[in-house]
Amino acid sequence: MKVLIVDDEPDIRRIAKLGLARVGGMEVVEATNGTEALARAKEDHPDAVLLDVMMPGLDGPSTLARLREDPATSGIPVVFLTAKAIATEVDRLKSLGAAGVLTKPFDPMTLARELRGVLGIP
Amino acid sequence: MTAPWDDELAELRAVYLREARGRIDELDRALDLLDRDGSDARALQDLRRGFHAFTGSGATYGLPAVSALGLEAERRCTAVGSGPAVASDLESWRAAVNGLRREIAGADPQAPAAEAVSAGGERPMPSVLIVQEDEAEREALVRALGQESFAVRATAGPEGALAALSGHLPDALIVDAAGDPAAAFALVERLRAQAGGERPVVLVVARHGGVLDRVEAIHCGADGHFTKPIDLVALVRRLRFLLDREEAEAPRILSVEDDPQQAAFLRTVLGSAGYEFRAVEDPARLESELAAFRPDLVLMDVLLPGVSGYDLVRSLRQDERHATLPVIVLTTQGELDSRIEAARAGGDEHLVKPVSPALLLSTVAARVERGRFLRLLVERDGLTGLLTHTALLERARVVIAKKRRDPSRQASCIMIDLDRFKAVNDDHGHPTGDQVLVRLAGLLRARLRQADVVGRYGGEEFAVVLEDLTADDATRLVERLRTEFAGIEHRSREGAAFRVTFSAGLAGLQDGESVSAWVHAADRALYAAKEGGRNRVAVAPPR
Repeated sequence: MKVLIVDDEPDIRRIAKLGLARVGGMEVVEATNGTEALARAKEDHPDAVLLDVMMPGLDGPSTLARLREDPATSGIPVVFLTAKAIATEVDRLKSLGAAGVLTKPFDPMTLARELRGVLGIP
Repeated sequence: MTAPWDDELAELRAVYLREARGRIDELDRALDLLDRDGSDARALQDLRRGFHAFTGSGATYGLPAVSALGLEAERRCTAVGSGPAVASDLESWRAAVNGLRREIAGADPQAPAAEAVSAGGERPMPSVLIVQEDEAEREALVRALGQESFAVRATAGPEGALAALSGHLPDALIVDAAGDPAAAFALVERLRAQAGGERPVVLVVARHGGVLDRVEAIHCGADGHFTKPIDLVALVRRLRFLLDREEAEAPRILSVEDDPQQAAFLRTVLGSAGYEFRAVEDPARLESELAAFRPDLVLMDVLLPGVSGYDLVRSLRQDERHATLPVIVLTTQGELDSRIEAARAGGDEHLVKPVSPALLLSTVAARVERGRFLRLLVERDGLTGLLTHTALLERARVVIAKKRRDPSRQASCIMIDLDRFKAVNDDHGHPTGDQVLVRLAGLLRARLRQADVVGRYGGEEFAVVLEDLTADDATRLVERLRTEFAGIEHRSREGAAFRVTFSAGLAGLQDGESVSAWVHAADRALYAAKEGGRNRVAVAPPR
């Protein structure tokens, strides 16, 4: 399983990669912003995108919208990663068409499991 | 136990801590800019982004206090919006930045341990006192624990240990009983007899692991027993476990369920996942169980004898104390109608029986976590970050319940009121008054223990509940706080320097006393302190 991690914070990318790749045994590609994410998604065909919400430039929700517009990437499930763990925000993000929402801070040891859970992959 | 990625994780953590220092400096720079111009849009944005990054990353890197500090400061950024930020905002952000700096320094094994010990952060590194005669063994222990981010002190014999214990108690004591077992056990007994002495985790090391040694060790109050040669990995693991157990309680789940089989199923599933579980069969007992058990989540069956679960949820929601308590409704009925009914009644989630264990666990985990987070938001006063009035009384009730179970427990309630605070607001303006409140809150937080209950009771009135201290010790503690606070020089926005004092009333908890009687007694004592001329502590007479 290949996951695209999109976050502008390098420390979050690093530890998310450790959680998904080393602990979870997934293949990981990274992008540092929304624009880069669009290119990576198109080229690398990830099975899922783990997408930060608050990023400078193209933010998470706009990136999701752009991914949906392009037939090459519209089918890739997107899971938001947000530090704003309140119910209304989570509901709002889900209503945008995300497969799920994971919250920051997260436990790197269980991140892969949680991602699988959200995506419904055993 | 080590995992193959432990080294990588440690490496990432080191990088994170190193970079965090630079980010904290950036926060400082933004605050300096805001000092000059509270509406500096760029600085406000940088500040918010900076705190936001700490919110998301702190606990991810094993530093929950960093996330908590970031979140609190970030919320204030949101509230301030495009500004202007006033003095109390800046004060609160500075406090957050200082807290972050302390937490980061405390987590960095490169940083000197002494700095971490002296810093009174919300969650400092656990301190360990080692009593070990053999120098080589002592050094080995110091090194091993130092690498594990413990703040370590070491001494050769019981004499040095007694001196060390007369000051600040460590979180853990490791004592070698191989040379002179009697002296080692006496030391542990001395520690346990001290005020607050039941808190530290005690590990005893002996030459051979005879049953008698073990019994003796446990009898004198040790939590664990190791034989030489010491397995350092096992010792550190045990220490962490014991310390964590002190810190984090297992979430409590209360089930309202009249079917014993269903209750047993829930107990098995949730119990094995580490939850504390209790079931109520009789809905009439719900109210008392809520108060006694203080659940983090309620699982509500719908079909109950004589009453509907929906009605119980409704009545529960009418009580503001349970406003944030997550409720999961369990039904056997079909989907849509009962889902609507559950939502109408105020349930957070709806599960149809039979529930799969995996679904139950994931739903409960998510709701408990969110509930705890919401409670954190609701229970804290926006300005000072202390407990609110309601939350404080709730905690006081828990202390009373503990005393009911164990009458030997001691607790004091202290009401604190700033003297002539109206004049501060009148003379220097409300923002400066707010700053004084924040300052007192900071002092209380820094000087009191993690487990102490500290709240803003209203306006300029604060309340503290201290457990496991005699009324005399508590009085001495409050006296110290009073003189320390009176010595603080405050500054108004115009630069005028002034001092503020407080008066305090203290009441020791009596057997069988209610919350209101206890708080009232402290309030009366406070009144007496005010009448007696202010800037003093008065103690309530026995009732």
